[in-house]
Amino acid sequence: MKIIERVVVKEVAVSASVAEWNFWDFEHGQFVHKGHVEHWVLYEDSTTAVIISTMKVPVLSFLKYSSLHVMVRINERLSRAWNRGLLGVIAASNYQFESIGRDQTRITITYRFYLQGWRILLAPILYRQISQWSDRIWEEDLPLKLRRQRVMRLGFKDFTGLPDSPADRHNDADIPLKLPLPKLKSSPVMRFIK
Amino acid sequence: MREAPGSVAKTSARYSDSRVADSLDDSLETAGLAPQPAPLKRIAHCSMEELRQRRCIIRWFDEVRDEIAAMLVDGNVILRSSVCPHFGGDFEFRATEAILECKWHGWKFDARTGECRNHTIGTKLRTYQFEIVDGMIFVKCE
Repeated sequence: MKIIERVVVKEVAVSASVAEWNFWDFEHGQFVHKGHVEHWVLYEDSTTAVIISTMKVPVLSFLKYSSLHVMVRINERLSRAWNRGLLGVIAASNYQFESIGRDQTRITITYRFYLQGWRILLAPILYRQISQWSDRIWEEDLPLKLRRQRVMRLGFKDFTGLPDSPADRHNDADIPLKLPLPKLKSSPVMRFIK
Repeated sequence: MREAPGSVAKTSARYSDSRVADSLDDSLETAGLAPQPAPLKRIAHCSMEELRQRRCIIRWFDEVRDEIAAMLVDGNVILRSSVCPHFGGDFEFRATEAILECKWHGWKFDARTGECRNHTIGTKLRTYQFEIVDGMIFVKCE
């Protein structure tokens, strides 16, 4: 078996809980990320989620494949994910959310790919692709994080919106994150949950 | 000389004894000088010309701490909050269907009524009062 590893470090002007919210929001994938077709939650609780994703095959985008993700919130600032994706490649990722100031977060993502048999041949391509893929996801997610931070600092409440009076639109308190994120039964990601 | 209603309100607020202040307010009300609610502020949003060309213009206003979409639907101007009540996402306006669709999670709102079209929720998009003066659309706010 060959293991390839890459570490990506990013800093962003949002609180750690907002950065983490983006990680645990499965519903945005199909609307925000290129190549994502659908995500279905099979199971979730306050620390764990099991997801099936349907994605487009890179380059041959008319073809689709499914991948299985298991995500665990180890603690407030560390989440881990394991997935089996395209061509049966198994990956494990760590997501560390470190507060480096008020509404400033450093995110350290460690990607590890476990390659077996003929998949070892994919190592050089995967190594190059990881950072490109990670950068693209980051760019697509960044506007969500920044706007979410802005509205949360204005006292936004999920499923309700901003406070009625402009005078009440401020919030200096810590921004909480409670898992699982609330979802409507009609959400596309809830289609197969039992 | 008569004082403006706003200055009357300030005068009564200076009394530390609320009973004195109340009785003063009562007598002022009898005299037609009762404190009036503050007049609505006007904030320029966009011109009608610009809106006719683009059908929808979305701008953030620090004065009201909200993002407001001005839309032209069936020839009528509509102003609504452009912050999705789900998780705070931003909208894309679909002129043919008169829908604001959230870019984050696909929630769709009727521009005319503010109601969500693809999910059952207990809230709708906030509407803003406005006036059109010399071809400019002004948001009216507290």
